[in-house]
Amino acid sequence: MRRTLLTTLLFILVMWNFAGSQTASPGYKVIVNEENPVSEISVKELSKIFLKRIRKWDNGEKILPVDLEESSPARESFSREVHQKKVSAIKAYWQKQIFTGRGVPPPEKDSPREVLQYIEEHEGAIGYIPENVSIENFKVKVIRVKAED
Amino acid sequence: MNKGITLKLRLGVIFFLFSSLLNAQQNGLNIHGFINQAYAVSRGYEIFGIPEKGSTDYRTLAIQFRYDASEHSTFVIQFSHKRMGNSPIMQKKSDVELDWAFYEYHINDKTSFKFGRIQVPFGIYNEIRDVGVLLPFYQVPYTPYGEGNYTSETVNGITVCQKITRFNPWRIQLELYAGEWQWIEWAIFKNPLNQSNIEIVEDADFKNALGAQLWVETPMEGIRLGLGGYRGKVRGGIQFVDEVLGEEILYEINFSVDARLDNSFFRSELGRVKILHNNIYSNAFNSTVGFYLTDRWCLNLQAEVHHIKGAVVLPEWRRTDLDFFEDVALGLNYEFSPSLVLKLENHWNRSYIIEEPIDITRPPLQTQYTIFSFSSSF
Repeated sequence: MRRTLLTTLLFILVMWNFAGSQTASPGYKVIVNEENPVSEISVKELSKIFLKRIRKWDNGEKILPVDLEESSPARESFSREVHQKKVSAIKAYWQKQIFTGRGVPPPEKDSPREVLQYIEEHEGAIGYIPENVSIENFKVKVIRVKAED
Repeated sequence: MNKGITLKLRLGVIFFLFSSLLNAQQNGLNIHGFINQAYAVSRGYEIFGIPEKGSTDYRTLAIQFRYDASEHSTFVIQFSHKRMGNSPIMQKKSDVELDWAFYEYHINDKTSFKFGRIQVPFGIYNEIRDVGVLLPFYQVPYTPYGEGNYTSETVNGITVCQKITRFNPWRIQLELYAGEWQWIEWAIFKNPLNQSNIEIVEDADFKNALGAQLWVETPMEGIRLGLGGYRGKVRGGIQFVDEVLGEEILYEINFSVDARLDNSFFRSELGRVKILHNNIYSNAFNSTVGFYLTDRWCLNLQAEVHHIKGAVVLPEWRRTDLDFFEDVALGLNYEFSPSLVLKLENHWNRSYIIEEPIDITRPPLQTQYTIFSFSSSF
């Protein structure tokens, strides 16, 4: 009886997650300060940078990731594509880091313009903005995101 | 010193601290906090301080200051205010308490030390036991965490954390800790003279503690396995005084599975405590499963069992086995955002931790309790 119950529960769990699987289109571009020598980055590295698991660029400079605010569609796409998780799961990850005293999340900016300004002002910064937002007049550059390492 | 000078001095210190904080805010100071406020009501018997007539005197609030002094050095301090209705352990709780305060030094990205008063890195929940927005139910499972009294929340001492990446894509984290802590024990007896209840609440000291917690993140995204435990010497409280068990060596181990999938989660823990010289064991098990019905609604189920083998019945000093604690819970959460969550939960409980005089030679008592709460964090 217990085994049947457990098997049923596991089946529901698997089907529940299978039913919810979905993919999202990118809708964002990744940008860094124009002085940054990096021109491409892998999805895995990008995820680790935004979770602060990688903290320095190859040249030793401190990496300063910057996020868009949580309701931004570009943030949702970035989270789905790069972290393979919903924004809410990433927020939960950071709340856990904060309240176990382990770390704090990247700063959140309210608009793509603020992200561009932040990256222009900080040489080690990296962020993302909606694909259709122009970077003209800002000292930043777009870098290519590779699917694999 | 007269009152006027004292007041001026206090105001001066507050002004100095406030201006220092404002200045530091620009340079690595982060302030975060959370609150959980509940209305709780029990049916049958009072448990976890929840009276039958209901209570809103049920909350936790905390504020945390984190100062990243440099790339390697961090200071963290957290204060909290906790109310648990009529729970006997409230006798030992101040209105505002120091949760933890530590200095952390990162040798590199993989190795770090913490010194001070530090949360014990034990199991899935110990470090986040009051952070409502991260918990499926208002409280963490009683087994093995207790109601904020048995499994300690903090260790006064040192922890060392080592991340191991050589087994990529497996990610391993090992935390070792050493120091001492206290916990609160309580018991309720019937006064033979007037039949009123007498509550006894005492601190037990846990010294020479050594512990470890290992976490292995599997290549399957969101699934991790944990193995933790500690040992130490315990004295005092109610059980570990000379007239009862005396000073004892206590071991606790705990195995955890923590799976966070896209539309559900599953967490389960299996633990064992051994009280060495008196040869008392307890086995604890908890399991929680949650289904995200939509992006905002989550349905949670939880079951807990705690069994004690070789419990001592006083005054005869007879040994007995106890089905000490069983709890089944069903809850529904609504998430306005990841930092604002409403919860409604009901628990069906059968245990010996009812807040009444208990006779452990008789079967455990049954009660139910309902908690409606909101949790927020910033």
